[in-house]
Amino acid sequence: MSNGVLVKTVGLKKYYEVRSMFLKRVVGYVKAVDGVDLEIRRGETLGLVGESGSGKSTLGLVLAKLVEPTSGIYIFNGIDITQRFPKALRGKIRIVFQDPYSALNPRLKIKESVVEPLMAQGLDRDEALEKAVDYLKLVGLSEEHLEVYPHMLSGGQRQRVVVARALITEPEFIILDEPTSMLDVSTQAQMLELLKDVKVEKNLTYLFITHNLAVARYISDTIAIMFAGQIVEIGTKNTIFNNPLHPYTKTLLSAYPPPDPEFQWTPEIPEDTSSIDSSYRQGCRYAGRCPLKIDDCLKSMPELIEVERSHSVRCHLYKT
Amino acid sequence: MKPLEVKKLTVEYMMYRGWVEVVSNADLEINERDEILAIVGESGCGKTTLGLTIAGLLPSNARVVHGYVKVFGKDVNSGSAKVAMIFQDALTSLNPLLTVGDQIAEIYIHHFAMSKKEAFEEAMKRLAEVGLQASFINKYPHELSGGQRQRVLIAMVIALRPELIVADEPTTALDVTTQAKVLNLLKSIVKGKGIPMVYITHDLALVAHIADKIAVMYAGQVVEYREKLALFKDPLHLYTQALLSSLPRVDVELSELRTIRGEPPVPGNFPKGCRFSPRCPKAFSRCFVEEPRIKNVGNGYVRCHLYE
Repeated sequence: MSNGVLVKTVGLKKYYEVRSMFLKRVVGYVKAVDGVDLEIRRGETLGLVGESGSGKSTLGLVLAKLVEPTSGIYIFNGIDITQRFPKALRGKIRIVFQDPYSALNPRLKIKESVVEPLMAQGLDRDEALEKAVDYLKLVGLSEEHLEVYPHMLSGGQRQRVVVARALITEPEFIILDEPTSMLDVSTQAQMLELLKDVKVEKNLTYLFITHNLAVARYISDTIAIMFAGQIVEIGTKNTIFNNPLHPYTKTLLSAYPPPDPEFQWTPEIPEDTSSIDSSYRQGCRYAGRCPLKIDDCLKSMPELIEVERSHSVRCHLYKT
Repeated sequence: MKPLEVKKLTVEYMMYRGWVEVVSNADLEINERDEILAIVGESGCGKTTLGLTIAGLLPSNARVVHGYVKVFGKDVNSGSAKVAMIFQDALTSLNPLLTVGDQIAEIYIHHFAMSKKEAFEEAMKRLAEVGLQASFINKYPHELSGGQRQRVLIAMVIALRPELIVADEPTTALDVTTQAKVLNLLKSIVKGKGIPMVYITHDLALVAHIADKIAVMYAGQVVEYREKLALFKDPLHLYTQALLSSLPRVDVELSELRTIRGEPPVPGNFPKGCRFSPRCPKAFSRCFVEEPRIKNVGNGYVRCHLYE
């Protein structure tokens, strides 16, 4: 619990093997997460923003202990849980996925789904059910929802059930992987408000994974921008939005307009955004798209450097 | 003649409990050849059904109860109106067994009776127009990224020489950077070629930049239909107001989102009176019993008792 850091990773990597069709030999690696150093303070919401394929969901899975990292260290609350994950800590880290339609077993009543994590911890069924009612109320559902099946609920209600199920083990850290991207605008607003409220009430720490910068701006304290398995820029919400430094961050910020017809929207997007340079030579991974690249960018991989207080960027343009 | 005229359109779907109204009494029009009309709403509001009706592509379990859709004065079901549609999922819209060139050239061969050689020459031109290199002509859909597939579809739509384009969430499946580019491409086609477009989406931020006129749908009805600037500056319907204030924004710091209580109703279960009344913060007794009529405002209208 040193200086309030709840979650800390050092050089976290997750490589997936690519095997050949013939003989299934390993012919290469997909570097989904490639050397992520993170610190999330207790009570903080870290918004993790990136496009599809950036590795943000894989990082979420690793932090949820659902996927083993290839290398690196994962420290939770001062305890190294990279290899061993003590049973007492298992309810303390939970994850909420994007799709509330596939997250709930269609053959289980809501109450069964919600009490399941408690039963897994060996709690008495009656006690667990009592607790389930409390948590359904906490997320804005009621007792009558205990006896229904998922198909009888709307997408927003299902996501509330999923949140209740995550909260019921009294976690300290919740990974929210695009929890609102399948919801409608009005339901999304309700869900964001709910997540903000329970965070304060239950003293939670969030990793909020999203591709939507507007949502990230609303919910986060700190924002990390991920590209090709690496964090390319991280800083407080205000520094990222008011003083973005990495060329990729700038592109992302210009790519999504505010809902204001008088705003002069001129997206500044490099020509080729089709593929990430997968050859991963020694240089910067963004160099293939970067309009500002210099010679160094093709020669060496930039480090994540702190350019001002709590604002780091991985780009050769900002070498001191 | 107006590029698009939708009058008193009501569409029903056959569901297990019988015919269910999905679109009720929709009135819309496009007046200029380079106009983009956006239809905005949440899932289940009927925006896709309205789009399919405008494109004349209603499935066999749907029927138009009354009203009509006319494109340049021709009924959309007469066979002489030329409307092309772009869907959200480009991969399922393309034939996985044919190259990009084959699929574009096919249009010229079958619709315009061109020779194969001419057709491929035209296909090359269309690819260039949507910003794809000539080498794409021999690629298969699975070799393309989502944005490239959507560009191929747009090339096919241009090849058809339609009088009207209906685009149903064409950028929803794309990443933000790709989305911005596809959006600009669509806009430049409408403005440059003078092909009007109906743009269906749930994203108000995009609409603020692409549309000329906006129709907001709720529970099967168009509840507000206004010029873009008027709608954003001075939204009249309480649902429009609520939608705008429940949106997280990239440009300003918000401490709270104003939420609408409850959830949108599903077809077959629309409330009596005004369909928004159970969720409306300003609903009064009349709203719960009497359906509001259309009240004309400027170049559009609003459907709310407060303005009658």
